Amino acid sequence: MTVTAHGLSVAAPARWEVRIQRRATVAREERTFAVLHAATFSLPERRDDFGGGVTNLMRSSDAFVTLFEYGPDAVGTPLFAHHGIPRVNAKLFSTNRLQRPLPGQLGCQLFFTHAGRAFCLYVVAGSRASLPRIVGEANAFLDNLEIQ
Amino acid sequence: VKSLEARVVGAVSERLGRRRPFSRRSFIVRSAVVGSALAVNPFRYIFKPGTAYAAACGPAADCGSGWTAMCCSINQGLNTCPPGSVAAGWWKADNSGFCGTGPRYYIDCNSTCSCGCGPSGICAPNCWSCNCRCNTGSCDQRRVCCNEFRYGQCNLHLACVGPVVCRVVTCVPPWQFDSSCTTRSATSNATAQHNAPCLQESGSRVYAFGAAHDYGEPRGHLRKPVVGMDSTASGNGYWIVASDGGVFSYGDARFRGSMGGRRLNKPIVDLASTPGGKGYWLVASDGGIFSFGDARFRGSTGSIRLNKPIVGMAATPSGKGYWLVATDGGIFAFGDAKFYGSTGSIRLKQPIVGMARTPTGKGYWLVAADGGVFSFGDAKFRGSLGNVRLRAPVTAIAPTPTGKGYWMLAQDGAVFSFGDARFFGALTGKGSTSGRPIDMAAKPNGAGYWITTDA
Repeated sequence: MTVTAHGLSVAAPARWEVRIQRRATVAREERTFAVLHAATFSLPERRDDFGGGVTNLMRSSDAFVTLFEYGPDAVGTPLFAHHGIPRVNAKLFSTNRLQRPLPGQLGCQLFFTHAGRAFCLYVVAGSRASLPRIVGEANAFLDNLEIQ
Repeated sequence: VKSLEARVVGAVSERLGRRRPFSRRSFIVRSAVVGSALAVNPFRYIFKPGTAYAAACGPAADCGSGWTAMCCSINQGLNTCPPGSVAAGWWKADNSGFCGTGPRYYIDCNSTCSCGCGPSGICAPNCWSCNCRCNTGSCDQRRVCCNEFRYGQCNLHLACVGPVVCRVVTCVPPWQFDSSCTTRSATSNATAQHNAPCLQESGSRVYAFGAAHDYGEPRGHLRKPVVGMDSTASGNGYWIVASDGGVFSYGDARFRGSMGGRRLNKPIVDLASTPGGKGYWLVASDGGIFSFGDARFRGSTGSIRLNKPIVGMAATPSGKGYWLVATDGGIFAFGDAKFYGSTGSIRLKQPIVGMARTPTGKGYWLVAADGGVFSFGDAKFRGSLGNVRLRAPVTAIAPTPTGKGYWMLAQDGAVFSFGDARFFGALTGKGSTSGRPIDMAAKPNGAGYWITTDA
């Protein structure tokens, strides 16, 4: 099944659930852009952008992906200097590279620009034992991702 | 009808007050901690053994929780990024209850680092400026310098930073709290109830030094940060102004009106009172002037396209004019205020952050964020910090009554005195403060001064 919204499109691999949303703003100057969540398990309705309320539900075999878009002012800055949708590998993952480290989990975070839009890719793996398979699945997911 | 929690807060606070004499601030802090404990975890606090502080840290306060400690817990009580760290991103929690009905904001302070990194935005551990540890000393025993994560909306010019050192918590939007942060919000409601005892004092605060007395401060969480203050002519009171134009008067300072609740094109950046103290002006960053009481409008730059925003103002001794100063040191004089020079054509290392006039009104000083001082007219140069490595940028300048000296305030609460300005104390090492020291005002007789924090 292909999920498309806010200029993002992805053909969800088998056993993956994908949601794309853009939050409403509260403050006058506040801005939001697209946030994509994908997981190998059922995503809860209430999800924090970088996995709060989600990663605590993961099993050791699960994977969770966030694609978080920044505004146009981020494009061209040193933090977003890398171009193209990145791919992950096992060396990028660490138990501390998480928004909230939880026992057994590993994470990795990559900032990049693609199609004139700035993003952060954040991937959480449920365990080191499952990491090789999760890396492969995450990259297959990224192969299917289109950013317009 | 009061809620159970409100009634318990009142009863416990009253009991605290009866037990033994506290200072006003100590009493407020203790009451606030109890109140916060009740708000965060009322039934645990009421029915379980333990202290208010144990409940005041909210859920997941131990090191194993994976979350990062609050900055005020590790930074001498200051709710700011500690030295060696920078704001690297932020998020908000909706409906936390700590900021009224508005969101509560969290800014991650990540360590600086001395090496490069790939697209992760986080450099390798061997070049971090800190080491991973668990915090101690309060119930906020969360992690310090451990989580290699970056929210990514602040200091985007830094390709690489280290791990998260601590979290700044505020009701003020991060892009107003730290100008390096963008307005792109992220949400993490899971952190809504995270807390620390040192955060209970949040809300703009006023600290009095020397013969200056503490006449009060804006209580609770302001919707917008405090940006300026000014003393009354007697020195027995002061006004405080927030960026939304809200004015708060204390001691013999009379409230003459405000812009609070009215739509502004640009935020208010400073306040200046008239010589008699029966009025004041507010100035916005576009140079728009709002006058109250006996303060007369003498002109503004509100309709002029400025090269740089206005950051401060000073009134003439007669009260029939005023100067506005922009971050590039451009001076705009109105009424009987005369132009004595500016740094508008000089390439400054750091922006101008404030100005002060001499007693005669025939000169003025401009101060830059690096502590550089520029004197014009009959203002004499009495020293500067231009060649000193500061822990935090300078944010304000206040003159002595003789015009033979001045004080400078830095954002870490340090006070620097020059000429005949006497040092009466500073906020550095003072312990629990909230927000950033943002402005200072001297007593008209020079025997003391006040410092206000922004939020």
